[in-house]
Order: sequence, then C-alpha cells, then structure tokens
Amino acid sequence: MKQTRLFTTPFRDRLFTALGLLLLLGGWQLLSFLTHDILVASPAQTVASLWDMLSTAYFREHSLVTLKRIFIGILFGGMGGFVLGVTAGLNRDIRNLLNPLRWIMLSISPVVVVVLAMLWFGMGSTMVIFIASVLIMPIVYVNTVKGIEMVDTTLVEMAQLYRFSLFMRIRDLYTPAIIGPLSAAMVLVICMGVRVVLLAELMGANDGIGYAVGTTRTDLDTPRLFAWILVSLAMVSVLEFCLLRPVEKHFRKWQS
Amino acid sequence: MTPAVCFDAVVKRYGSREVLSGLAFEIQHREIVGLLGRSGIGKTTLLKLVAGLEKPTRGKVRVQARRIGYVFQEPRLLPWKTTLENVTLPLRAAGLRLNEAVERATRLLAAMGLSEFLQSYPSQLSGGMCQRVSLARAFTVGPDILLLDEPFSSLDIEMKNELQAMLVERLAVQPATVLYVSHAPEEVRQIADRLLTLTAAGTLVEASLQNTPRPDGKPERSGVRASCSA
Repeated sequence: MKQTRLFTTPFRDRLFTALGLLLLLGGWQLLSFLTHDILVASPAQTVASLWDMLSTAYFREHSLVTLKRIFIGILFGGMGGFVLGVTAGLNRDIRNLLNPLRWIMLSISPVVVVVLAMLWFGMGSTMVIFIASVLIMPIVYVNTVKGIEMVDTTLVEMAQLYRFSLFMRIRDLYTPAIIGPLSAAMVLVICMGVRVVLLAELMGANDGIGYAVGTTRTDLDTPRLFAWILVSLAMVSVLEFCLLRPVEKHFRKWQS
Repeated sequence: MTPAVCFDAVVKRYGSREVLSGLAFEIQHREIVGLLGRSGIGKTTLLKLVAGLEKPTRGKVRVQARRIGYVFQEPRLLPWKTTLENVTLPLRAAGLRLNEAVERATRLLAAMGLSEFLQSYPSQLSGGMCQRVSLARAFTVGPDILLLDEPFSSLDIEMKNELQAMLVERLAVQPATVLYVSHAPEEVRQIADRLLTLTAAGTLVEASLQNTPRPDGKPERSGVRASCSA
C-alpha cells in the first residue's frame, strides 16, 4: 500500500529537527538578551521588522532582483557545469584538457572573482550573475564528472550493445544515474549561490538584498539586517523545496 | 552461404594473459550452439567479441547480423525505468516511433507473462522476473543472433526450467542464431544443435551432445573448422 511522505518519515527525525530549531531560537534569544540591541536583534524585533518590511515596495523590488540573479546564476552555472561535466565524463581527453581550468576555478578565492568581475562588468546584474555562475560551475562540473565515472559499467555495456544514441545515453542512463550525487551538490550550490549573490550585491550593486543589507549597516538598523537574513534563508528554502526537490523527486520516483 | 559468426585465428589478451588463442570456428545461420567451459575461462569474452563489445587482439571476427540480442548473467535493467520502458528503449534506439515501440514491447511482454508488471520497476520484481524482462528485451529487437551468457545461473531450478521453456518457445516463434554459454552441460544440451567446449588453453573443441564433457575440458571429439568459408 502506498503511503504519503509524511507518514514514512520517522517521527523521531522530525522531533529532533524541531528540537534543533528550538535550540537555535533559544540561543538567539539568549544572545540578544545578553548583548546590546545594536549587535544582535531579538527574534521578536526581527519578526516585527520583517512584518513592517513585507508590505513595502522596497522589499519586493530588492528581493525580486536578488531572486532573479540567484536563479539566472544557478541556471547558467548549473547548466554550464553539467554540460561540461557530461562531456568531460564521457571523454577522457576533454577531462584532461579541462583539468587545469577546473583546478583554478575551484581554488580561486571568491573575493578575487568579485574584484575581477567588478573590473570587467562594472556595477549591476551582469557582474553579480557572472560571479554566481563562475563560482557554481566548477562544483556542478566536479560532481557530474564523478557521478558519470561511478555509473555502473555493465549498464553502459548494455546501452552500447543495444546501440543507444548519445542523446539516449545521457537522458536515459547517465542523468538518472548521477542525479543522486548531483542533487546533494545542488543543495550546496543553492546555498552558495545565495551567499555569493548577496556578497556581490553588497560589494558592487545598487539594488538587491545584498545592497539592502549594506544600507542597514549604515543606518544601524540591526532588526532590519536580521530580517533580511531571514529573507535570504527563506530564499534558500524556496529554491530547495520548490525547484530542487520536485526535480529530484521526478528522477528518484523509482526508489520510492 | 556466409556463416552467421566466423572467428578467424582470433587471439584475445588482457595484458600478458592470453584468454583466447588462435580461435577459429563458424556458426551457421539459425544454428543453436552451446558453449561450455569452466568459470573464468573466457566464455563471456568470446560472446563480447561476437557482440562487438570487445575487439580481438589479433585475428578477425565476422558477424552477419543486423540486430544482436544479449541476455547477460545479471539482468542489467535500468533501475529507474519500468519494465515496459526497459524493453522499449532498444526499439527506440533502433529508430522505431514511440507508439510502435510500446506496442511491440507490450505484445512481447504479454507473451512472456509480464502483462501485469509493465509499470513495475526492477526493484519491485523478483530475480527470475527481471531475467525474464531481460530475455524479452533481447527478443524485442528481433535478433538475428542471440547471445546467452549463463542467463539462468543465478535462478532456482524451478525458475530456471520455466525460463528455459520460455526461451525454447520463443525461439520457435522467432528463430535466431544462438550462442548459449553455460558451465552446466545439461542446461544447454536440451536446446543446442552443437556443443563446443572452451579449454584452459584458450582453444575450442567440439563436445558430444550425448555425453557430459570431461571435467578437465579435454575433447571427446574434435573437428572445429579452422577457417571461415568465403
């Protein structure tokens, strides 16, 4: 008999997750109680500030700009990393050719990328999207290559025997096979995408959540700063649960 | 007439280890040949050479076939595809339209008693059923040559007999040249026209259909052709 996800998740797991959340909230409350308001806003102050902000055009404009940049950055970085990863995974020569570039892209400091992007593209969306894409691409690339290397060789042989086209191999064999390791990487990528976009906006944009966070510092409006933090966390959740999970669920329905 | 399969002085080496040594034999069209030999002696390598999955180190392998079906030791089904999709995919690869491929695969799966499991994933099927799907996949492409690599070795006797009967039944409907690898002579003897034994020296000898070959793999009767006919 089929059961819903809610009932198949063990109660104990949910209990401890809720407990972890409560501990975090408790710790936050305690910290705000022990320190000055200007250093740490309390949960109540943060929620009140968020509530005030939610109905403003200022909130909508900055949030939407950031969301758009994160989405495009992840899309470009993710697709680029995936396509290059599949190509390199299937062809040893291309993998070796891309090895030095992969090493540089993974090792280079994000701050260097931000400075270079500001130099090349100036302030604004192009720069922010470029930074996000460049920092995301090598993570997706490495995980795709590793995933392809781990595909069951007996299945590859079967596909070869029945003369699967390259397109069929990628669609029906490699993509479903690597979706496990790749989805774990994508969670990292989403979190990193949000962090990088906010950092880039803070350093070189006139709009977006990162820019708005920068203004809270100059205004010494700590509750609003914490409210923006909550918004950025919500964005990670929205991207993870509305974008990543459905794709993952589609590809892993055979495991349920 | 050109044989369906012809090995001409075929040598296969993996590193310094020679698995097949100057192998020369033919299999005629629609002939069912049983290939015996100890485990790890190179029977699978021989099948892979016929299938084009391996290349000979020396010599030539000539195969006259448009389509080859292969039933591996393990089912090798894509775990994320349903029974129907697993059987449909080779047909799609062969260029059939989706509805045509689905219709053909459904018909074959029904003939093999798998109608109820079309939408099941391999993880929801027993080992015997998975191997039955693998057999259906091999037949669905309409193979000129069917390669069977100890296809029922991991199954219990009852399931083995059932699938063997299904194989014979299917071959009566869809005749093909068959190369049936096994280390159990009694298994292939039931359907083979001819038995060959692969020896430890990497050569082939013809074995009797009546008697069980000697355990050391030495010939009871030799006479394997040493070259391909034109």
